[in-house]
Amino acid sequence: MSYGLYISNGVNGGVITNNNTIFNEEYGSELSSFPLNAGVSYTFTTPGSGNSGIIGISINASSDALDKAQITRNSSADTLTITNTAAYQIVLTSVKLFRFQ
Amino acid sequence: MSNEYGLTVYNNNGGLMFDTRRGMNSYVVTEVTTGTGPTVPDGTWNAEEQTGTLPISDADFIFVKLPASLSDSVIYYNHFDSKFYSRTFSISNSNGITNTTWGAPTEATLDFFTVKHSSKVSSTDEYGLIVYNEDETIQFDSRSVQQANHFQVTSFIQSGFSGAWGPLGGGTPLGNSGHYWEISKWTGGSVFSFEGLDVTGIWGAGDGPYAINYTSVSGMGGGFPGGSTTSSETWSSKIYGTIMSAVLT
Repeated sequence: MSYGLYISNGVNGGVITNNNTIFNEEYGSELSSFPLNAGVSYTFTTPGSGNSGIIGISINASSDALDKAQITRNSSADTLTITNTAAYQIVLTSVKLFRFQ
Repeated sequence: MSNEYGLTVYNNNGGLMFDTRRGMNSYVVTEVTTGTGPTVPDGTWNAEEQTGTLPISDADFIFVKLPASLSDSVIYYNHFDSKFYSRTFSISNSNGITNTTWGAPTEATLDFFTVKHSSKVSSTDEYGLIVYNEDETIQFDSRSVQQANHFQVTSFIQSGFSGAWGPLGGGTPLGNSGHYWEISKWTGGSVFSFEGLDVTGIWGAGDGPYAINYTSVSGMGGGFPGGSTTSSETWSSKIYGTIMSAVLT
């Protein structure tokens, strides 16, 4: 084993090594009860957010708000943007970014 | 990150496992088994005072495998009793107007695993590694890793997916039917036959799996109690919730 971190209690070990994957929530990028006015966007610049294979996004909101919240990614700028496509304000109950890699 | 100090661990794929320079929370596998639903903790709910916790699963993510034996059924998760359900369905088509007959909701026995935030997995062990975030919340706690298995997310479909299956337009396959699929964030439906008209779930048939989002106007059809048939139905192509697949490693 030439990479990773091995943790042992002296008897058992091998907690996090090799291809074991920890699923991370980047809570520093969370939004809560977030209002988004008509036509307005919010952009995440968290590293990796432009790549859906690295970072996923989970949004909780009403079905209507979810329908109007358009998510776009810019791989060049490495950003993820939520745009309110409605002609009225929507409120996103929570927005969380998850890192897969 | 701009700062060049701290503790960072990568896996052999170059994937980030944790990084003290970021604000992160980690999730760990807490249950790997076969059954009709995740383990439910004892509730402390006091109905009179409206306080406490309900006896429902506190898993953050629930991944299930789609058995071939249920390839004729839509599978979904019911948060209120923390159970998996399946419903068969059959469709007739008359001049472009579909009629769907649903079988009764049935508890489904599935291979599954659950994932929880590491802070929910308590341990009194006095050894291991704890990584804190800047605000003193826990980023990683090795004591929470209590299963031999770990998991790897293999695909992710963000909210607003517009490829749910319908009888007229078909649908977009979600991905590998042999992987585990998360169903606690986007599926749901009726669990009694007399409700019968609301099913959002995953269908493992054909070249799927497919997402299903079906609703119809309650009371328009008959078929009680074993199932229900209606002509005022909607097969939405939209799914509002995060869909993920994963494998155990």
